Amino acid sequence: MKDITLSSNLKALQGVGPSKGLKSPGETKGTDGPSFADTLAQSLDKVNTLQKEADVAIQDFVTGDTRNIHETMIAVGKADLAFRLTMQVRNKMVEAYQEVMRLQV
Amino acid sequence: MLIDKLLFSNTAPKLMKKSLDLMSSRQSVISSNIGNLDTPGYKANDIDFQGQLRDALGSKGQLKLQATNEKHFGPKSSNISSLTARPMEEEDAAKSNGNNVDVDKEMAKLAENQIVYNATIQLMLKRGSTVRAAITEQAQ
Repeated sequence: MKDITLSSNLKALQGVGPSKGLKSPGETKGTDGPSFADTLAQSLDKVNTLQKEADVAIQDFVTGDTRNIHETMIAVGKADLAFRLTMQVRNKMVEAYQEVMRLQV
Repeated sequence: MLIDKLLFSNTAPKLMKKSLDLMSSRQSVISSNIGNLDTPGYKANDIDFQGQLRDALGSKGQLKLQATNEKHFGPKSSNISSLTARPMEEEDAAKSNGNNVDVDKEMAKLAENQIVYNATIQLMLKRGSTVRAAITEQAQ
């Protein structure tokens, strides 16, 4: 197992913030980093992989290929947390979209 | 149904369900071993549920076939659901009355079985809660 924290996922999501593109408000190049869509797709991919890994861990546990419960639990917990985080990001996105759509012009 | 597919018919959930079934059978087999501690001529039984699951998955040797479609060769997921508990006699040496129950061993197996059973339940609940989160759109 690599790292059990979500820091990699969070790091991937940090590309969203105003860190790179808006550093110098005068310039407007801002398209050198990965786009938000790419980051999102990547995170979704990662969540999917984590869930598959969790299923493999479960299979190994149940068939007795591995006897450690904690590793299985961690794999499943990781997949669960990653999924919830991604879902919450999606919820916020939809919320922001609806907020914009409600604006009176 | 979709929920059925998510929770019970992919390989991992199906495996968990089956292993719970087999573990509960194993629990009663072990209990009956302990109950027959003093029965003359009684032979202890056990269920190798992990071996049975491994056989059903076809992952015994080094080469594994993955069947991702019902029409594929190799292990089928219906193999798993049609598994039944297969108790086997233990080969321990019998005592003078023909009984071969070893209490310490049975107690250890009982405890192990219980721990693995509880862990599997926890895993199932955790998977279920992910699906529940997706349905309610709430990461509680």
